Amino acid sequence: MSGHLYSSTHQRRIAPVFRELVRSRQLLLGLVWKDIRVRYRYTAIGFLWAILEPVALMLILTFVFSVVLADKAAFARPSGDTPYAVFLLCGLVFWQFFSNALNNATQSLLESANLVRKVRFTREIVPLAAMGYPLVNLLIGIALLLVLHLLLGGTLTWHALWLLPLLVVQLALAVGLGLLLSCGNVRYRDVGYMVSVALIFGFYASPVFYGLEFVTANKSIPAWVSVAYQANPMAGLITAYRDVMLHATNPAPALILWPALCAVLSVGVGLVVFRRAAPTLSDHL
Amino acid sequence: MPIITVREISKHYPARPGAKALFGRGGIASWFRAEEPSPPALAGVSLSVEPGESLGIIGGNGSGKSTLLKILAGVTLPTSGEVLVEGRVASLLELGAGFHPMLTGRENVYLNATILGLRRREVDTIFDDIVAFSGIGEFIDQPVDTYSSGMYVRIAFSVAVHANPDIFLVDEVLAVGDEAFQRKCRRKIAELKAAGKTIIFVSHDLGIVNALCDRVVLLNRGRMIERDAPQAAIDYYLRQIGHASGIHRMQGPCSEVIFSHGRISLFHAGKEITAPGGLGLTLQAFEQPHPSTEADWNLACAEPDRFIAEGTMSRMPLTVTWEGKLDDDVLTLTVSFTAQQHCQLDAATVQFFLPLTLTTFHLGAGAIDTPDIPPTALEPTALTLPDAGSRGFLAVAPDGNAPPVSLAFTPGDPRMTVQLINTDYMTGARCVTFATQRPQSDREIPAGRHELATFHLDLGMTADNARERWSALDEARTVRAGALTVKAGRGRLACFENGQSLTHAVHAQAMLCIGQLWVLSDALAWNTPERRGDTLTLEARSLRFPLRLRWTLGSEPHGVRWRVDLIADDHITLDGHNVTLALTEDFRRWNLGDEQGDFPPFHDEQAWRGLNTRYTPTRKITAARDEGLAVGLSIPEDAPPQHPSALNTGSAQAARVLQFLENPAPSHPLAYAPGEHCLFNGWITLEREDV
Repeated sequence: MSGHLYSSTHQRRIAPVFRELVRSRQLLLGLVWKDIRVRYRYTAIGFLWAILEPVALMLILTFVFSVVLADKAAFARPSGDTPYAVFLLCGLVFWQFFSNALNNATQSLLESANLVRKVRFTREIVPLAAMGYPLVNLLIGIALLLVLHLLLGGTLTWHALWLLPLLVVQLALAVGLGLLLSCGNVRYRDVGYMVSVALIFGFYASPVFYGLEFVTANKSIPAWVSVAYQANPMAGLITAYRDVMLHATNPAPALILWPALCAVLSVGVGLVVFRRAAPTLSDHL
Repeated sequence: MPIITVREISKHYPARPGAKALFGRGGIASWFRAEEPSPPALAGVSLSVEPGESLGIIGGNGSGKSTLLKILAGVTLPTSGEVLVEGRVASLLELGAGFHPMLTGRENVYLNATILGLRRREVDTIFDDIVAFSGIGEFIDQPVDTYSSGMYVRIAFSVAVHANPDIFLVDEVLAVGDEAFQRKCRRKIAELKAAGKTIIFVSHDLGIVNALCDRVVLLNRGRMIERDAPQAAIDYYLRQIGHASGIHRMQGPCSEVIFSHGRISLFHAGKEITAPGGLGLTLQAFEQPHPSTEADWNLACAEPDRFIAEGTMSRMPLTVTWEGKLDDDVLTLTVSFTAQQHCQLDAATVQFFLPLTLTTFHLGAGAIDTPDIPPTALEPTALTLPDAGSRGFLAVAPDGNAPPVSLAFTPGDPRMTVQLINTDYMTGARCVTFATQRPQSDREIPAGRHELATFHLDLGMTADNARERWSALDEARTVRAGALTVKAGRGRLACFENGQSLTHAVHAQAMLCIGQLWVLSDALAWNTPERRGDTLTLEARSLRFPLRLRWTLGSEPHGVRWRVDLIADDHITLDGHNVTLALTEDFRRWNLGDEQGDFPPFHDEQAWRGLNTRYTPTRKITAARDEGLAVGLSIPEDAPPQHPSALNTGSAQAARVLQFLENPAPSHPLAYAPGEHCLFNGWITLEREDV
């Protein structure tokens, strides 16, 4: 990279970051690929686990909510012709992506402390690479979801193309939050613990194993809870995913505007905050 | 256009929350507590580095070296000030950034190379070079956590070095790995330097920094103290900062001696006359070298004109002692070591590094012009000395553009040999080694003190007065009679006529035959000649037999008086003895009084061949050269005549020999009671017949 000038005073500018990320794309891909390879090394069934894990979780939850808690959880199971298993898997796949991406990103700088302390490179690569593996899992999950959906008698329509903009919003949200949380965690390790707990809470506070109507159409839940609930961007997103993939309808604008706004905000804030903290991260590691 | 520019940078490390106690410092609790500011790691440092330059950074612990390096590597930012770096940086400081233990060597090489900024395609082309350099071989496809630490370092270093960055940050990584790998690393770094890469070197080893770096920066407590030519910075370091117990400095009228942790550096008129590496001692045991710079040094005596430094070796039960005395610019150094218990010692070598500017070395009988060291020289080359028995040398630079260096030494062990070596290109120096190599059978040394050698160095020499002062040292062991000059060496006398050599090979010696073995006088342990007026007395003792030899040389009208006395400390039986005069091969005729002849051409390569048939006792034997010059030995009228002999040496030695000998019959060896016995008392004569 001769001709490339490193100036310490320009390290906090955001614009050069994009150019650098494109230049370092091989490094980014290399780190993601490393994660993937290392994850399943020394296992017997290797990459199959990428499919088995979400399927196992889906089976367990289906079993719990459809069989064990059958009547008591009837409220959670939506009406309509989508089988609960598919309904559940849809929520699970996207939630798992969000949860794993955030958890990994938050810990990513700490785990790559070695690298950050010794080599000069665009630090944004680290949390981004950490989200690579969950993204791969997401793609596998979507494929699995489609297969299961079609197998169990569902149909796929052009509405499914909404998936692409929805994914863009989802990724932007994850990236923004990931950047923010990763550098926060370096300075205050509390952040890691908070994120971990928040995501557990989030699993229940998002319509993963129940539908959004359960909260919005429920008389016994106070109004402010309902409003607060909908402040969760994943609430709108997951419902939108289900709408486009399983129910073959366009997503309601109200559902996706708020998550989109959150995504834009989080990317903006995340980029700025991360860039400010990035050059001196090694002092804290 | 500098490749690195640093402007007034300061670095304060931030307080880390939670660093202290459960409620943390810098966290919530610190809002309630008054915080003292921590001292800055760097304060107001500025420098610039040109492309292709090599910069050394030295300083004690906590001086801010690693912080400065981190900032140069781009890994952190200065709190204030600006840093500009043009080009890719590879840091060899901590190798293996990004190595994941579960990945194979191959995968890690690709990953690491990508981290260092290479494209995959570029890595493909150099992958084989990387593996070849590291010597990992087939392990490259094994996971890295199966590697030994040595292999790990080798592969990591190999990747970093082949990554072709513009700037290298290097530190004592060169000290890791075995000897062969270290040499490879050094060679590679030399290649990088030659290829115009910029190298920033951090080290505590001032010798390496001085050798490798064009400039040196000295840091102390975050401040840059000195930025200059390496020697000036290092001098400053030694003087002001390195006044720890292992360093001592002596000053003379125009000389300076610095002893630093087992290495001695010499200065004349403010400039260093030794090369980095100075004068140091290396011991060898079990085939492993143990440089005495590794020892733990402290000064038992530290006075302005003398010092005694003791170094406890860490891996051998020995204490090395250097004693130095500086008297009017003449330095006398004695090196010895004390063994606490009997232990193994293969060899002891004193190494004296001299700058390349000194090209001509004058030794005893002759001089040698040392060749330049080519950049391809990767190993040291030994040079042949014209006079291996010489007890000193004078090294001069052509045109007198560097101060000459002179050294005279007295070995404590007669097995000491002197060698002159051109080092490899990277070290770039001449090295005179004084080595005592012990034979396989004699490698165990008993407990107690062992003297290695005493060195006399005249530090007051300038290019002008060098020859005079050198001859003054020479004078101490020279006796003249008319045109004949006799110089006493280590158990041998070299004879000259007006500066021209008369003797050759073994020169003039006394030989004793004990138990059918010939013991030459140059195999004994000689001490420094003592001068009393016109006479010179030399004494030697034998390490194997209870005897001593004393030679007395005097200037007399007849020639140079040479008296050989045998001092027996116990009853001794000799099977024969002689005094030998070996002359140059241009002597043609021999005359033993009763018998004469010509010296024929040399017959054999090694064996000496006797030329006379009768051994009629006589008082004068001579050998003649063409122009009417006759040199020989003679005995005074009042002493009994002795049996003479004339011989040719082998063609390997190429000398003509005259001897006065005593060769008794095997059944009647010569028995000597304890006491003094005169073996020979006569003259070395030189006669010129008017042509």
